[in-house]
Amino acid sequence: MDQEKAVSKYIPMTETMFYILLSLRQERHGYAIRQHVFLLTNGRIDIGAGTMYQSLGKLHNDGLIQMTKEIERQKRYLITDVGIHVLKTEAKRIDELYHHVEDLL
Amino acid sequence: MKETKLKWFLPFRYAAPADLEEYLEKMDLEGWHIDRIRQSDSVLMRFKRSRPQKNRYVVDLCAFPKSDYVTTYKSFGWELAGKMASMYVWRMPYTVQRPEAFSTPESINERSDNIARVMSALIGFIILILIGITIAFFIQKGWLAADGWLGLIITIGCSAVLILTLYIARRQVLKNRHR
Repeated sequence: MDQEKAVSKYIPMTETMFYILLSLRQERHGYAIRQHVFLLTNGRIDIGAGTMYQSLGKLHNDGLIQMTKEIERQKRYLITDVGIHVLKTEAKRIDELYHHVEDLL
Repeated sequence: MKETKLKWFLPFRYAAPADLEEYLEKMDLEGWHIDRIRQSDSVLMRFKRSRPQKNRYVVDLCAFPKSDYVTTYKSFGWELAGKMASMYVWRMPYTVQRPEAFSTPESINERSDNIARVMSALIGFIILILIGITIAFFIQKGWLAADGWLGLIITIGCSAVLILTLYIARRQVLKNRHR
């Protein structure tokens, strides 16, 4: 999937997808992603196994992440250039939102 | 005191995954446990008496599991209780907070949509087979042939019942899409 198609499909992005992509700036497997997101969000977001499997499958099929290796049937993934582009676009959107509500906080 | 309990099920009685999950959890709480779920359990489930347990069950349809499907669930602490065709049943004991395998509304909907899609495909497949049989019948026998009608009518009748059952089950799944 090219960058523009990926942007129109994924943005606005769910929090879960956002944090999975953010975690995959470093090579990780599903459970490591869960742990990372749990820590980052102070336990607010706890991604379930089914949600993780579905999300990684979708991101992989659309080329936002790539599989780097598989050890004992546990796949490790890393974000791709397309994924980084989508993540940055979403970060800019969130930044814009933040600036519009900054005086409320 | 009986040590086992047999439960018969009408086809697709618990078509919505959440219904089957809640039923298995209720049985565990009442002290009736199922060790291993097999294909035959979609019709007849055999529960063994045990101490009351607090288990979370999750039903997930995965027709074409990737090599890491089972590993992903297991690494998150789920035990594979068994499978019925492509329907995987996962189990996890808990004390306070009921664990979730599908943690977002989108993924819960997607799970239900997967089941509904498989049911739609089955309905379509049965209809195609039925059309094929009917066409073959008329090509071979002709409209006016007296023999063979009974067989054709029985085939159409049975297929209609199957299609209706699948249709009702699919509606039940979609009605409970968010659970």
